[in-house]
Amino acid sequence: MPGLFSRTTCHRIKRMINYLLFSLMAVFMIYTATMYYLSVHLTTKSNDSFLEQDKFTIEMKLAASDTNYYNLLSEESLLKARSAMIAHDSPCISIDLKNKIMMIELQGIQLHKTDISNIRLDRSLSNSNGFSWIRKLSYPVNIDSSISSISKITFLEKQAPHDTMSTQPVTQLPDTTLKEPVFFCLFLSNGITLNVIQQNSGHLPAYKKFMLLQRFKTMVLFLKSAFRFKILDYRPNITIEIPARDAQTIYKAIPAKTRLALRIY
Amino acid sequence: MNNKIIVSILKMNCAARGGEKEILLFDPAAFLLQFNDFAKAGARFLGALVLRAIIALAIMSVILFLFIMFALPLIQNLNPLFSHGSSNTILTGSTSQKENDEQKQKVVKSIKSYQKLFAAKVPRSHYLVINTTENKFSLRSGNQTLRTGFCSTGSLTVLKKSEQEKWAFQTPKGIRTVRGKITNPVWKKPDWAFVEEGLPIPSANHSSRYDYSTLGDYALDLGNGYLIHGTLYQRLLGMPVTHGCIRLGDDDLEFVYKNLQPGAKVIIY
Repeated sequence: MPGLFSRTTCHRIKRMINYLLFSLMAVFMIYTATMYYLSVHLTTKSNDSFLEQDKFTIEMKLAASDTNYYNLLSEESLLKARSAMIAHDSPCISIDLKNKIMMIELQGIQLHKTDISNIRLDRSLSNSNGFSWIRKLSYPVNIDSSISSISKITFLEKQAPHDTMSTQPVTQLPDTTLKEPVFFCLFLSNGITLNVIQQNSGHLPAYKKFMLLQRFKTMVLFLKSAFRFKILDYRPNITIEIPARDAQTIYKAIPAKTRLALRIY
Repeated sequence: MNNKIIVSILKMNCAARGGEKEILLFDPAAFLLQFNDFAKAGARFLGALVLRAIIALAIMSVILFLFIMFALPLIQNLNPLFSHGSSNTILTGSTSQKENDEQKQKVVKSIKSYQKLFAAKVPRSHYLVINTTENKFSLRSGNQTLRTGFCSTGSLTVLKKSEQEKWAFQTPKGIRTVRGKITNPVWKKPDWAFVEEGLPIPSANHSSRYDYSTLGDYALDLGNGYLIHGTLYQRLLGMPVTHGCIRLGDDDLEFVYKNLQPGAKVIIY
């Protein structure tokens, strides 16, 4: 600036500030990327360390050489998890990604069944050891929390009329058409996030907004821990598409905290 | 140093040497002027710096936001740089044929036992499953569905007379059993039926409480005042309009009534 610094000094200061800011940004990006990478791969590693038990050795060797045996193990794992849910006195979810079936069961009785039209698995899940997941998922997992685009139950409040004159006859039928798009995320106790979305909703702005908001929340959590130099446990995502009506029925039928049996491979 | 300040100092020196009457040691006006210029220049510089920093920070924030939201999640698609026992590394090796067969037999046996367990859990007698979200019912026997159709369940409304007196109309979810079967059921109207119509609440056994036509020809008692019964409003089947009971169409009700025996399960979800 004239009178304060010479023109060259001014340029030098500006350039220094630019360098400083962009180096800070680059450092931040590299740091977060590294932390994210570590988060993904250390979580995967810890999943796979589950297999470092000798009792699985023979099973693993056989599963590696025989896909038929691998499938049998996977089926057995789902059945074992489902059978453990029989004792539960509220509806539980059972998802078979191999056969593309999602259903709700109550004490072993199948209540509602739907076909899954589309499945998207995180790469971290497909990179992970399938055998490890088969073994881990032979027990039902708890649904820790969930978020949804629809409410589980909504009561309408009606004021009682004072007399027969003020009683209003029911002229309008209740509107049972499904207007709002149905998406819900179930956060499972084993670290998986299960996104259930209605069919063909990928193009809907509501869906994009919903998923971006979820991603934003996850990223805020990740950044919070990254700033504390902690590696956040990565939550692999499974996204499944089912018909809107079924998604609504399933979400409304299950209690906020229930159990889930899952077959991935 | 600013030139003007130097000039004013020189002027002061000359005046002192020339023996002028008024010795000018310091010119405050000139100094203020100079200070003003200096301050302005400084402020301009700082202003430009702050503005530049704000713009840079804004651009950085946008870049970082896009990076965090869209680029960072892609990292999970990278293959691991270090081995952590992926399926390719762990699942190698072979076992003897005998071991293989033994293991397979073990798993097959286990699957069969689980399947038996599930088959045993499904009621062999007739049972009714009610979907309150879609207002549909299905009458089943084992894994076979005998009849499906529309029903009406709780309207999910709260009738409010005062802060203390409220009634919630919801069909309770869970497993219930048929406690009794009734032909030509009579509805003994509870208080809310009168409150809803703006009528005064009569005494407990007043004749106006007894309704002989609303419930249809048959009813199945599920306990706690909840019934499966018929309806005068067939066009409302498939909609949530009841006060908690389950309404069926005439034909469906007759079929269900004939097939469900006391003790049969009614599963509502």
